[in-house]
Amino acid sequence: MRATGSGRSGGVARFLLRRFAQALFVIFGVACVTFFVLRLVPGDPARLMVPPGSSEAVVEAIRVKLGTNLPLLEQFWAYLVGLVQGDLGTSFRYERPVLDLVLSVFPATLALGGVAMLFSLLVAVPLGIAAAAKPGGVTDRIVLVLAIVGQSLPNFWIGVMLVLFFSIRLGWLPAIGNETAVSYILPVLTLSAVLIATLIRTVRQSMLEALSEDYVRTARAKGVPWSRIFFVHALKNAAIPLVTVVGLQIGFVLGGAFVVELIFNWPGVGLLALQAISTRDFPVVQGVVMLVAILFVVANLLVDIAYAYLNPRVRLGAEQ
Amino acid sequence: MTTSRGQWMNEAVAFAALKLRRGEISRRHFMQLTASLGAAAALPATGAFAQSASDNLKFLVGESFWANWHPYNHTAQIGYKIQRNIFSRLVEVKPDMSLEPGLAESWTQIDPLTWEFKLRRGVTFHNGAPFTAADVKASIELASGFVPSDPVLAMTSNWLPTEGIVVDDATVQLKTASPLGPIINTLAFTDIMSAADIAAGQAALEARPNGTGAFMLTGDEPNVKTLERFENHWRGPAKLKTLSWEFIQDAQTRLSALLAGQADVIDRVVPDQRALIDGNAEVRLISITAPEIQSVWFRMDKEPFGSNLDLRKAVAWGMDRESMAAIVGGNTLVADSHLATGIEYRAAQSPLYGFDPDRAKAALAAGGGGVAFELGAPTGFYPKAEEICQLMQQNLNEVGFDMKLTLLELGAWIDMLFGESKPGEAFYGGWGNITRDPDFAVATLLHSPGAWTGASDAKSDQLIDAGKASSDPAERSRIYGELQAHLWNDLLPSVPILFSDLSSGYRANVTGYELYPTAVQDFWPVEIT
Repeated sequence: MRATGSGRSGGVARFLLRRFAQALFVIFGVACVTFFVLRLVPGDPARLMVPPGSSEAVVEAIRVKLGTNLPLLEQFWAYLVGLVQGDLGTSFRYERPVLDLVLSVFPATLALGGVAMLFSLLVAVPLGIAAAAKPGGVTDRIVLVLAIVGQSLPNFWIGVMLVLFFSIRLGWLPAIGNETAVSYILPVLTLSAVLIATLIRTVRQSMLEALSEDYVRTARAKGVPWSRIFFVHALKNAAIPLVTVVGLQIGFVLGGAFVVELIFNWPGVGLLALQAISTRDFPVVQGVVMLVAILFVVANLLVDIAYAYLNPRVRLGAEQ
Repeated sequence: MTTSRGQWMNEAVAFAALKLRRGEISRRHFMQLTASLGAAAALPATGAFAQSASDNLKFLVGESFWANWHPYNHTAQIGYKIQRNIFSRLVEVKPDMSLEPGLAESWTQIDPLTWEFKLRRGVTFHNGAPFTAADVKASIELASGFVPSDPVLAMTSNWLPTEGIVVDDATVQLKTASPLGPIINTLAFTDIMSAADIAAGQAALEARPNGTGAFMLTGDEPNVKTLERFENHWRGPAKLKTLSWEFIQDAQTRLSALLAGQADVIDRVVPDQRALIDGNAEVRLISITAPEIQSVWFRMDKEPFGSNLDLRKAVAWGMDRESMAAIVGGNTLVADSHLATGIEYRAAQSPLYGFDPDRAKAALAAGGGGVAFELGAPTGFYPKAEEICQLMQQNLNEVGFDMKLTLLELGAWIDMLFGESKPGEAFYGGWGNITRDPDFAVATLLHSPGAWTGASDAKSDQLIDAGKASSDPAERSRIYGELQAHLWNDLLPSVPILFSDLSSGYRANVTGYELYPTAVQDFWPVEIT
């Protein structure tokens, strides 16, 4: 039985509403876990801000200034109230609003992650399709070897090797910073290596599965040109798992950016977070984690919407 | 390099245009060729990153910047380093740790409590205000705690309350509450601020530095501080126009930037990286033994070590300190005193506590036999601390101890050291001096109460107090000689292991750069040729 137009849009709305509620719950969970885990880790931020051997009175004065002397639940409540109002607190170390700090570096991470994702798709999709076009052929074997190599090498090693070769030995590309367009090349290559490998395997596998479907056999029997079968019929269906994987890989890209930003001194949220962790700058760590969590949740929400668009069964399932 | 590449580009375009005119290539090919040359031009050529403008220097540092600019309210090395270039002091430290006149042209001791300083004339602050004796009075009274501050400023622990007496605009007297032997060395790291700024209150001092130093702060980002040359500096303008300080946490990233020519100077080169610099003709390494001691510290207020000198000596004899120093390499030396190399009145002690398992076993037996203890050590801060402590664990367990090694991230290690619960029986750590005066090290670390080890030793306290109170070099030499022997032979609250290597890297075209053991950096004489 087919759903009516209004029934379908109502089903989609319910589907999106449910996803949105889940997203809010996840973000609240992340806020709780981040807050309490940070305070379980040994290391008093006040002690890191005073000379070694300072008296307890001096340390306590710093705690009062930072607000870390208050009962934990009281600190948590203040944090939640601030969060709802869009106030992530003030950095212990930099004495600046956390939101300003995080937003000032976030575009750099977004640009790095976005370019890396785009570059990975531009490389992985054609290679995955080429590999699937003739399974077991030379192209397929070469692409699979590349994928295995890409997945096997840790990105910090790739980054250091790229710097040693292209920046230090050849002097072609900058080793640090993000001042010019060419600054993107090495960090993007480093961040993309594993991603490309993952996406190649996904595209290849999806294409192989799509090409083995009955509708492809039927289309071939009807004389539809191979290129049309390949790029129109099979590729659209193969895109569904690709979208899912891309959505999940956004988390990987953000996580990988922490390492890549350290290697290339890329002024993004990863670098900010690493510095904040070592100085026990709780508000900054919380701010970065919240931002990344929100980004991840929103990305997954978009993936769900895209999935519903690409695969009508998802919508129908939601309606039922 | 850049010029020749530019010439090459021009010649290539001219050649392509000639071919077009002759009809040897089409207009489309000409456009493609010039476009690709344009793309190539966007890529820096080999060594192009090394092209710093001749008067702009980029300095990469491994320590994050302090949140505010109050020069008396921190103990961060990075603070002393950058302040050295923004402020001036009455006396200045030279690279060999000796002193030279700064804002004071000369000084004399009038009586045991009073020193008189003749000040340099014609000096101005960055905001144009003239420097006078009133600025010295306000600065020293604030730093020393003569004018109370709430909370107490970090600098005050290095001082006794000291009154400033203005004799005239160019003469000031400093009168301490009791004799202060280290006063001249302490003045060498006490920045002089403007009396008007101090009167404006702490918030004003924290917001922006206003000194008489060679550089002025012009850019204040969390990880990048930009300084510009102060044209009216009393030594004359610096050779560099701008000096950019950037915090880069990762040592490998700092080195990569230096080797790629994206930085002119980097600090904290770790020993493992020395070979990479030595093998590159475009960069140089400067390396010294720092006045910093890495030691095993016993908790003297706890058993088993607190009341048992034999056990502490068993640890001293049982460690292969030569191998530990070799693990770090560079200019690292095996420690032979509780006063580090470069510190005044330092004297090598005897016996050296060379690695002697038999003597360690004998001392252990005299101390009552093998005991279990926990040693906490930080990771990722002191070079090779983890490896040193692992060797220590192997050494000591072989002679009969049961040592448990707990490796901690720096924040957790500081909590372990100074937190209320004080777990463990010993810890590994270092202490660097920012002055050559011995009082800075011994008073902070070994005078009770508040000693790092929890030791409460009347003789140490008495000798430290006597050293602090004396201004007579011969008398101080005798006192610190006696103190070192007492610490080494009778008390042994810590076993010094090594004096640290301190290394810095710089591009070959940087001249005048010197490495200061006392954690400061003076960029006034530096230039890029």
